[in-house]
Amino acid sequence: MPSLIHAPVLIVAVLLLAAFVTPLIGKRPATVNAVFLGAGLVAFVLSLSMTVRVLAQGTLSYPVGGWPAPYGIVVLVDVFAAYSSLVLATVALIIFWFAAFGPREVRHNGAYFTLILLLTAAMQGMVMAGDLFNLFVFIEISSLAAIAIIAIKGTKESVEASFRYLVLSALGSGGLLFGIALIFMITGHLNMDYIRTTLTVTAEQYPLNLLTSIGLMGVGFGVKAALFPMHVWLPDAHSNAPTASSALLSGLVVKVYIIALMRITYLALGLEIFELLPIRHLFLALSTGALIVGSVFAMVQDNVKRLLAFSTVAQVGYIFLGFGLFSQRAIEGGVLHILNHAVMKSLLFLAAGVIIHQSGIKRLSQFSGLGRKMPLTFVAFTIGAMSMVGVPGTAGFISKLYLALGALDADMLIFAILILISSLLNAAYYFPIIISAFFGKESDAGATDPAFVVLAPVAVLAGMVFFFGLFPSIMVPLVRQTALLFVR
Amino acid sequence: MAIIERLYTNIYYLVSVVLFIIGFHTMLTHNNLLKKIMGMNIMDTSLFLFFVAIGYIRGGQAPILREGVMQYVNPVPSALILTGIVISVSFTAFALALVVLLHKHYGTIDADKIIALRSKRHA
Repeated sequence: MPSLIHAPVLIVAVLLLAAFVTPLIGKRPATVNAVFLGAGLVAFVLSLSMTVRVLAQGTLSYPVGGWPAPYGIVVLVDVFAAYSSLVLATVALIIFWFAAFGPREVRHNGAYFTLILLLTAAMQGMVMAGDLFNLFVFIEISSLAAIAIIAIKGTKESVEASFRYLVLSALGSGGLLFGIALIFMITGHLNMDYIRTTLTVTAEQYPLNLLTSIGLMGVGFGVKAALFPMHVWLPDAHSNAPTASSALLSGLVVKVYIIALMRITYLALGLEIFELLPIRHLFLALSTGALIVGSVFAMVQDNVKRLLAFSTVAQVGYIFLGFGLFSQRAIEGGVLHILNHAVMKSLLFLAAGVIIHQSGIKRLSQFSGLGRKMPLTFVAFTIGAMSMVGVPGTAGFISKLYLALGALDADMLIFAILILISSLLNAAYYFPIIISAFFGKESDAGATDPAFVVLAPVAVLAGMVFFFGLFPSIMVPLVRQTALLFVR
Repeated sequence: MAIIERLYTNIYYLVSVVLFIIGFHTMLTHNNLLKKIMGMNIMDTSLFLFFVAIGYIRGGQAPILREGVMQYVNPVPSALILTGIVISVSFTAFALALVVLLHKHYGTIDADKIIALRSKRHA
């Protein structure tokens, strides 16, 4: 299939086109839904076939408009990009379904879908971008769309949370652009490949520029990826958004910035940077903080969505931990956790959204006995929670296992213990919810399971948790080759 | 004398870093939401100045091939900054829209008062 060469740009183009078409095609919900889901499906098929092609034939480098680097823009799809794109397309498609058929929380579905499509297009572009400036533009589009899908709920809290997110996100963007400018200053290139080759010469001449740039970009990406202690915006933003937005934000958006950061390190800066600067130690220290603080704060929450948001802070720590340990299996674990956490956190957020919508109850203290009234939803929630804790047979177990093994490979037993402790902490706040929901005293709140069409995406995600838990080998080729990009 | 000359040759970088810090500081420390947005704009503008200064050469001409012109200014940063300005404008517009909504909901644009109102409602 020769047209597959264009897949990387087509994914972004299809999603962008659909984003502009959805508000124009009138008020009929059926047509709007069809365009919305159709775009998601096309992106998924393209992403899947692109991944297969990348696995078979190696890195795909696509000069946009036929202009070769360094004058033109290059889209660079290596295994990491293909893997990320596939994860994004798959999970996004399921969340699209929920946004279209789930409980309605926003007034104008057309506008909401536009924002979601813009966000997804920007995320796809971000993981595949081959030059820094396009990366920056996609980051900005996704930041703006991410803020907008929180504010679109229109409640006091969501507007306030989204403004706080906007201010911190703008700070992050400022740092990022400054970092890019400093790199451009000493290399004269924006294409990541050319930057790397030029840096081998100029890095020694201008170490200060490079150091400042790395610091600024680190802070920029740290704020956007909610790396501890730059996570302060996340709990409010993620918990006050509409359900589908929460799932997208927690499941995918925070991770895309980690992917972009790691792509910059190995594509543009070169892996020597890990030996020259104590980046790994920084990652290790901050992710340790994230694991502990995220879990401890999650424990004291009474609002179910806030609990899930704090849990995201901790889970972002796992991914950074994988890159901080820097042994092959640890990186495999971190990369795998991008997928696994996307699946299980989306599952938990969607299930929580269904529970809140059906019963009107947000507070965990009132969940008592609710599980017997809406068993299907709560079984799905339980599956997600078990995966978060890392019960064997679920997806979460696999990535934690790899991370722990990776910690042993790196001769850092302490981090294997840390992962265990963090899993126990997870159990300490997830299991009481489930126990009280299924075995607690019956409350008088009336609630039932929703229609099948609403539950379908939740069920698919629950199935995926088990599928990736029982057959992790299906992702091995992609994940292993991704780890080999870092550990040579 | 050497230091003054060095400052003179790097004056654009110096000014843009100073502006960046002013913007950054305004954004983080001021309670007035409009001032936060102004800080954001100052910060963005400083970055635009920085980017354009990278490509600027004293005495350089616009990059159009002509007889007798030897030095050209690098056009790439200026072209990039056009995109940067568009992004900054959309961020500002969206932030202002949010401020209008916040004012409608809370009746104030002071961040501290909004937080106080929010926690009172929770209690």
